[in-house]
Amino acid sequence: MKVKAIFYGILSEWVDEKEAEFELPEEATHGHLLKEIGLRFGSKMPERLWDRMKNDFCAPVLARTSTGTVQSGNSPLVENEQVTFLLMVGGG
Amino acid sequence: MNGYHGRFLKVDLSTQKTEDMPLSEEDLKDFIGGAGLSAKLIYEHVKTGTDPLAPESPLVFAVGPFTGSTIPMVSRYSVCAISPLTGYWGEATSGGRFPVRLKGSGYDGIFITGKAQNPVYLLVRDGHAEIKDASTLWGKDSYETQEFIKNETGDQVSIACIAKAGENRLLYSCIMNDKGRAAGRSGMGAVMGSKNLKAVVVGGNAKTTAADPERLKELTLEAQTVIRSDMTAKGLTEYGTNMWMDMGMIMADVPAKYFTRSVFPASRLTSTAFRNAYAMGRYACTGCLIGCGREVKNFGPDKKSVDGPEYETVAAFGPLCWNFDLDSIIEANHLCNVHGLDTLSTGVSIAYAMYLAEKGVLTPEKAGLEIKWGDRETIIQLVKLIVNQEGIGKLLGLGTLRMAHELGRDEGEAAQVKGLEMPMHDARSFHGQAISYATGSRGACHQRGNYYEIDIAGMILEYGVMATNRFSAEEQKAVMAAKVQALKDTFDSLTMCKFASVSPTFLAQALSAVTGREYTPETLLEAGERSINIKRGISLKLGLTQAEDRLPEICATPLKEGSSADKVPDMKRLLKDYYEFRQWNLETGKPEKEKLEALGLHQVARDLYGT
Repeated sequence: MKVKAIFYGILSEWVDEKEAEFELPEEATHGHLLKEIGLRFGSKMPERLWDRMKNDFCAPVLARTSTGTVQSGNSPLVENEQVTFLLMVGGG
Repeated sequence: MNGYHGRFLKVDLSTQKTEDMPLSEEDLKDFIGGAGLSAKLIYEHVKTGTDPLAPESPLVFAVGPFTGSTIPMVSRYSVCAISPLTGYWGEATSGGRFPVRLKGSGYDGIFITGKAQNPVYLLVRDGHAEIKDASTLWGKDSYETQEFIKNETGDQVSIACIAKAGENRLLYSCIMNDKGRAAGRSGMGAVMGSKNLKAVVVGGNAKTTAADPERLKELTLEAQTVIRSDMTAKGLTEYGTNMWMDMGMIMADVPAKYFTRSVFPASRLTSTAFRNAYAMGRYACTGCLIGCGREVKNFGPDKKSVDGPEYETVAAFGPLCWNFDLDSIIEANHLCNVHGLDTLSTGVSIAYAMYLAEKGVLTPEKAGLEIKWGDRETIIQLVKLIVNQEGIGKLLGLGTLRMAHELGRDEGEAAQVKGLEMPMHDARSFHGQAISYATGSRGACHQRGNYYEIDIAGMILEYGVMATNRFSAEEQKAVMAAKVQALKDTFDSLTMCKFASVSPTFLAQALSAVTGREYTPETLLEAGERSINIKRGISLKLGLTQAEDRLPEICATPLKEGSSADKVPDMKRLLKDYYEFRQWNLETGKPEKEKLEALGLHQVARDLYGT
């Protein structure tokens, strides 16, 4: 299935793309998408943002689809899904 | 009058007279409450040359229509006056329990003029006001003062007070309430001190009504759901505001070594580092769902619990002074709280002294001590010298702009806008932040121009505000920054915490349900603009010029390291776009007459342009 990842705000600076398309196996999950993001962009992201061992964001990054916030790596994806990633961090 | 008591308490400390000050429906509709309404009330008392510390100069405490309602995160108050630090419009906000108790006292605010012959405190409870002798309190620190007054008046009050810094009219002294909460910026403590007013004490259970209680109930539940599910809010609960430290450093947003560096060992100063070193407690204002406040437990034998430190303070006494020692940051913060000093202006002034020492300007002979980057003992000693106004502390207590003047240095070295020291978000890392600082009503202000939040991952759909390239002046950056400023200004009129992740649509619906007047996201934005323009009118009366809408050179010089290396904001472009959107004249800095008239600011238009 085709899935589009949108890197919103400052994430796009680190990834160096505003969005990217991925070809994933049928019945792919959010975890599959993260693995592909890691393969393509992991080396571009600072260590504080991307955990290369776990293939996941280590900073508080929110992933949203048309149906709401992605709760876990096991969450299933659907054909032509758009997943928007946002870095959620605040200051004083 | 739904949402309001419809009156302020008016106090003349010279005559010791107190009376009710009725509020007009029109002012409440247009200015809402809090800082916006305070600006409206202060405006007519401001004349060219008004001395911020003169008896006739007003000091206003105000809450908003949400305070005391069921809406979460609304226990905030504004305190406003002409700033003795900047000479222009000044305001500060704080939370705690004081705001709810001020509303519970039966008033929407307190308007204070005059000067008491001897130190006094003001007790406002259940619709009655008393001016009480505070001679024995003068000289007591902020914690002792609060404890003493509670012993005298009973526990069911909250106290906003000054300490030594305010008593001595130190230009960046603050007002402390509910133990360690601070209305920190722009020297409001000095204004209290100039009036011989040691404390404002409030209590009572007076309630206001809501126009549509059922709708308000629905909206309250909605706000609770939104705030509880917000990831940033969860982070603030878990780590406090200092959660920003390491991610902020990666973004080059945390200024270091007096704005000359952006890379430093951030891991030594994170919330986790604090948690590993100390038992940390959490503090929440009344009705807060987050609890971003922090306390350090058992800091020392005589310090069972020390308030803070918050992110801004950690950054100011930490990397800005090239200091990575947690003990000294906590101690410096505590000294500021005890004696009533703004931690930001204090930290920035100390960092400037370190910068000047390195340049050979503040030699040990001249300073009376050797000032070295990152020296923990020096930082603590300098805070004490500032508090006591001794030695080099007298110079540092003036703030960076006056320090530069006194030493014959270039103004561009002073890290301030309009005299107010820079907050701890570097303008070179988010260029929307740069224009917000340059044009802020009170000077360099991250509270009403926290644009970094937008370019990280923010959006305000109602106003077309979206994240864009953080280093760009294009894509309507200045226009979006102006809208964010106006919205945040409205938060301080409503008086609502800016960590509440609610939308303008929610705010408009809630304000409509509380007051019975119809608000929309657009009219809220207009209220923010009105507030910004009347504050601008006050500062223009006091001599503000267009040239002061700028970043100091030290904060606009390209850095050689970090993710913002070689990037500087295009201030010319940003200012042009900002002024065009605001309808301010690019040469005079004045709002155009038509704009003022459209906002209903007819008196400001007359004052600036004649009849």
